[in-house]
Amino acid sequence: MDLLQLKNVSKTYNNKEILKNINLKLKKGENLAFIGPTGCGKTTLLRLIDLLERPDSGKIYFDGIDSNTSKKKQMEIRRRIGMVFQQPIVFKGSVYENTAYGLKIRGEDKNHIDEMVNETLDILGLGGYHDRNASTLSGGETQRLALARVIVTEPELMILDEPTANLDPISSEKIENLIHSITYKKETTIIMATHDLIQGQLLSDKIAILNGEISQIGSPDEVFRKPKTKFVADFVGVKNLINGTAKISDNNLTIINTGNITIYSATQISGKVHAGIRPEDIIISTKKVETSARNVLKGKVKELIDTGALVNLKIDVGEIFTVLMTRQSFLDLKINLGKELWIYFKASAVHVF
Amino acid sequence: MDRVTIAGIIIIAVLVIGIGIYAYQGSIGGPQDKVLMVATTTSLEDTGLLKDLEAAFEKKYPSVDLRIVSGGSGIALEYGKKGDADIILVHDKTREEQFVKDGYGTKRIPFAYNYFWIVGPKNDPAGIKGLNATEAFKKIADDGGKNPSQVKFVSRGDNSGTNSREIKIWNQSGLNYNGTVKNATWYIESGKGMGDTLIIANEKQSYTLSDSGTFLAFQGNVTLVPLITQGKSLLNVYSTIPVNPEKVKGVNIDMANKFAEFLVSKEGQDIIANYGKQKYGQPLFTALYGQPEPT
Amino acid sequence: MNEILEGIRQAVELIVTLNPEIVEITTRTLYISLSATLIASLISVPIGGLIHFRSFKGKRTLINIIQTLFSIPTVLVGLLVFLLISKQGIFGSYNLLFTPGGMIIGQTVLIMPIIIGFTISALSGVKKHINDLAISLGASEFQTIYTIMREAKYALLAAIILGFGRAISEVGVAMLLGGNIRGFTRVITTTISLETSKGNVALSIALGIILLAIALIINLILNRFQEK
Repeated sequence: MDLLQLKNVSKTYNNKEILKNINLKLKKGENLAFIGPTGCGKTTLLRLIDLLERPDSGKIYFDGIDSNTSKKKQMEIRRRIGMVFQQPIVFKGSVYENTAYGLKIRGEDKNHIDEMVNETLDILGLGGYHDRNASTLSGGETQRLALARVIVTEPELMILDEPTANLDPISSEKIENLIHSITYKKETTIIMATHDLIQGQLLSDKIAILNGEISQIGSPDEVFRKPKTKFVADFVGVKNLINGTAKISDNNLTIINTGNITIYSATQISGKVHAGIRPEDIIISTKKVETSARNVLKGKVKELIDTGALVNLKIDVGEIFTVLMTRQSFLDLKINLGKELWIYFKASAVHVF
Repeated sequence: MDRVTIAGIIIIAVLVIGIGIYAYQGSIGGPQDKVLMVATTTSLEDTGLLKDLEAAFEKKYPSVDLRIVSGGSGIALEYGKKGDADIILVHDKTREEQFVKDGYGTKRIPFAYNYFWIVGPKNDPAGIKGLNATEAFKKIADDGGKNPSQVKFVSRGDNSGTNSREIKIWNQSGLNYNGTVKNATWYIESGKGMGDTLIIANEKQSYTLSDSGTFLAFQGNVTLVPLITQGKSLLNVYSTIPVNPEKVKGVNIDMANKFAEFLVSKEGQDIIANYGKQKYGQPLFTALYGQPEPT
Repeated sequence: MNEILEGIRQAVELIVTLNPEIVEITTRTLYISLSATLIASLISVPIGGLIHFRSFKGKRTLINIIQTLFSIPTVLVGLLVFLLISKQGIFGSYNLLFTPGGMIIGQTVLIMPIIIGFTISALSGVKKHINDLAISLGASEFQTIYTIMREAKYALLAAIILGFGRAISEVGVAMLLGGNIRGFTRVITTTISLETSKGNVALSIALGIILLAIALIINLILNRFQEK
């Protein structure tokens, strides 16, 4: 049985349709990240999953239970879920009192609460903070407290809304590591909303690109390397996007004509298409060589961006292609602006959609 | 539960228990037959006479709780009519007789008298000294009309016995109270008790009508002097009337009668007759000692 | 000026020597106003909570009416309750007029709008997110309400103390419903009124000082709590 299932869920606020046609299934232990631009409805969706709001249409099932049920049952469901909000706030009182809240309202006895709270605060690096006034904590500490509050109740599903949005890089890394170890140790399923692609990739098994609707949902590899729509491609940073007309030729290759150049793709498709080639999949040479790559194009260096370890080149071969290379290679090949280069990439690297 | 909450609960519990005990100790009305509600005028209350009478009465009947409410004679009569008082002590013969006639009171029992005094500024700007009451009022009205900044009159304006008498005298002096007096510039209505009214009259250096008892008690606080102190129209008789249980429900007639008896008993009359002698040099009231009231 | 200073001197003497009349009047004042505040709070805080947490048609209007009642003249409340508890009124048979009990009822009625109104205000001051936080951590409806009330603790306390302040310092209700009966229903404010009109400045000033002292002590207690 799926831990979570959403069927045709939609939600409107102030006559604006924030979420439409949301369908997804999540198994226990399967971590999911929602990635999308600001305003894509991430927070709304998470709130719906935590039963803080009701969908305008569609159904939500938690562990097979329909969420459209009595207040008591809803509370029981919520007790199996833990949510960390984007801007965490604290109850008036000490760090201990805040952390113990979830257990207290569940009626646990004091000894058990003490044990759990101590353990959890230690895990989160808030070991000596028990008696500190919760409102005096720094941003990073507050976020950790919010996590502690949720973790201590050992939820089956943990929902995190931009867990590191307001943190400095060091704190962010700490939290990411924590989340990672917690999933591992406590077998908690995690749903996360983030705009950080790398974070999403790191901590989840599944990624859903969200923009009012789920544009694509799948493994990180599927989403990043095989974006299904232009939006997704744009969003996940597939550069080198081109449009053209495709025709299946003999020898089972597809020829795509952009009007400026012709490239070959291994994907069988015809008609108007978009295609994308990841910069990492492109090789450069200063002299034409024989390779197994089907696509060979010649052009001039239009732009150079030195990012330290890597150099980012923009080459005009009729379309502009972005290519990455190491600094060493860049120097070895003696590349500069205006230099004529050959670029190569396999037909299988051309992802068509 | 944290310490603050526990502390709060303990404090509330203590308060509730404390209040309960205090209340139980008869603060909120003991058995009703032991309570006597007396409604009286501020003229009597302000002199302090009732304090002594109350002390003596409660000594004589230790189980009784005497509770005295004061206001103008008007409101005292109303309390009687409504049954909120068991017995009234007032000084307005006309209204008292009507009260008994209408069946609200059992009997009108006069027990003491003194005189109303017309008091005013030392320099007597309207020159009323030597006149009788009605003449004096007429003179004040005339001079006040001509010279309202110098000659003024402060009235209680509160439907009290004193107020009733004042209006009577205005009308007796030939003036139309409602027409010429009430709205005149020189005429001020305080709407308050005798003490407050004397204070106002003092501030404004104006004339006023006061019962002698209150004036003597206040003499030290004001610079006004008594100007006219005798005369039939200034006679001030105090009476008591038990409220009639046949017409008004819930009257403690037994206690009311006992109090009336006490007032006209030798003990009560002695207290009244001697009251104020030491403090003010002269007694504030003349006890009747069973004699009929003067007319 | 001399009079005032003389009055203050005598007042201090009366207080320090624990003059029995002063002690009696002060005790009674505290008894009546504290009782009224307690009863009013027990009724008003839940009502305020109910109004705040539920949405219904006319909620705004109701809150406006409550806020208007903050400034209801004390004599008007006194008059209304008087009509109810006088022997001829509906509750006449309970003999409440001219008793401390009647005064407690009057003061309770007087301060209920204040406590209700400021309870609503206190609860509104709690961030909406606290509600979400509590629910998402698994709180039931009742637990959530309790949590929000705890968050508003000090503002709620302030509401109650405001009610107490109004009760202990008013004259209209105490006078009309109590009758200012010596030894029975005289409280600080009605005594000040009476003694001033009799010219007894010292006693009035003494009582005034005590009233201010009570207000000061209560405020200090509240401040202590808030500093935590």
